[in-house]
Amino acid sequence: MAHIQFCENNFSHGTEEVVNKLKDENYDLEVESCLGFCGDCAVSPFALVNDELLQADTPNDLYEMIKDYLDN
Amino acid sequence: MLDKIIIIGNGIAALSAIKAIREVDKDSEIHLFGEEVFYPYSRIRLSKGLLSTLQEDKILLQKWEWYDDNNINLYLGSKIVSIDTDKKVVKLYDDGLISYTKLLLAAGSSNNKPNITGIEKPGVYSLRTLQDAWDIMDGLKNSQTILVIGGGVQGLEIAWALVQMDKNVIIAQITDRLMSKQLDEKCSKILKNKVIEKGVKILFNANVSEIIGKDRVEGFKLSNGEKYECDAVIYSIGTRPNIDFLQGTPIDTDRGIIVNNRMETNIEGIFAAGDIAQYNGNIFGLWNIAIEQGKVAGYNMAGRDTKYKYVPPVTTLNAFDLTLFSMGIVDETMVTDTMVEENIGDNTYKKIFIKDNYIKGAIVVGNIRLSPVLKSAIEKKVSLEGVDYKNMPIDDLIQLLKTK
Repeated sequence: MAHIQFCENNFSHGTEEVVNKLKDENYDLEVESCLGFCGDCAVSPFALVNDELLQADTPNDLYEMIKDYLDN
Repeated sequence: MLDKIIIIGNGIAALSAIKAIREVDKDSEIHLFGEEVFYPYSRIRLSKGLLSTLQEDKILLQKWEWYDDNNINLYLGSKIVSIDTDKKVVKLYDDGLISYTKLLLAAGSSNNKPNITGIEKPGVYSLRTLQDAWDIMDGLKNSQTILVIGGGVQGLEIAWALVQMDKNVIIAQITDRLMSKQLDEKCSKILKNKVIEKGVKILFNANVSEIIGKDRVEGFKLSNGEKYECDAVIYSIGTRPNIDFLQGTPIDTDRGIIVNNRMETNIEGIFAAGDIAQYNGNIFGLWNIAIEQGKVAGYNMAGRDTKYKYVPPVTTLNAFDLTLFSMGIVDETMVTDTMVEENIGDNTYKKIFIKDNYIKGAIVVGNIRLSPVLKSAIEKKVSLEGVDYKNMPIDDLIQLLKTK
């Protein structure tokens, strides 16, 4: 089972919609108060999946990136 | 009796504290005071967003309605000027007095101002607030050559934004390398080469002694006598905690407000967190540490006994077409082993600092996608005992760490 983590400070980039979509698809995920990647968090949507930093320009791109990661 | 909590400062430490308080206690009164006129916003977005239109509503820490939803009384443009810890009241800029039962000091820090002749001249800027960012963008419209004093993370991020605006940029760095706190010498050199490649002039061991110009900035002078022309200056040489308003109070301060591992000061019921707090002799001035300290302060204020756990400082930089990650101890003299891999052609560099079979620090330049694995290994204190890491590529070690 993949370990998916989001930072709530990243929600101002719209990342919450990625969280909601994945939740609707019954993925197990965590939303933390800080993941420690503040420099990246300030710039664009991101998530940690199995301790890998996934960054994208838009929430939708991030969603696709996570799905790609999980499917492969 | 319900608590009446006053929070001085409305940055990330304050908001993290509120979330923790409200998790435990929905009913106590919370009064949140911020000096700026803006709703609480993400300060670290400022230096990264100089190129975009920095709008208040795009960088908010919480949506407007969050404050009402959480029963928070938010006061903007409201500076607290003093505290009477005997009477348990704070005094506002307009002489108004407000009582409290518990107090959180989270007033953050201010930028250090270099002691340079001419630093007050029009055309000299520093970036701390959203208003500063707007002033810089407005003020630099007609500037061609800009001096950035300070080669740390913020100075470099600002310099990179200016380069992308086609400005001529000079960085004056007081030491002999860039980001000397977060990078080893080799990595500083990789960064330096990249910065120079983008057309920036870097002056090392440069002590700016004077900003020259009649009515506004026309140039600057170094202590060795060298003179350069420029038409604006931005300084970025670190921060200092905003503790002046505590003068005359019995609250223990040193460089910052001294706190214990519950983020409590020496005065019962008064807590401090974030850039203003000094814990174990350290003031980090870092976002992730402010969040953790705010959370710990909030829980304790709400009656849930919580102790602060050390959070290793992490720095990431995305600038000059270079991505880098630095964490923990990056000084070879403080560890027993290091692992290094470098590829000069594609500007990648990895270095891991190991002490007695534990990873204590790491630097990654290039693809930082796997850097969270190193971060986890440092935080979780994963032992490398029995791992033949000396004869292993770093990527193999990282893959191994992922399974631990």
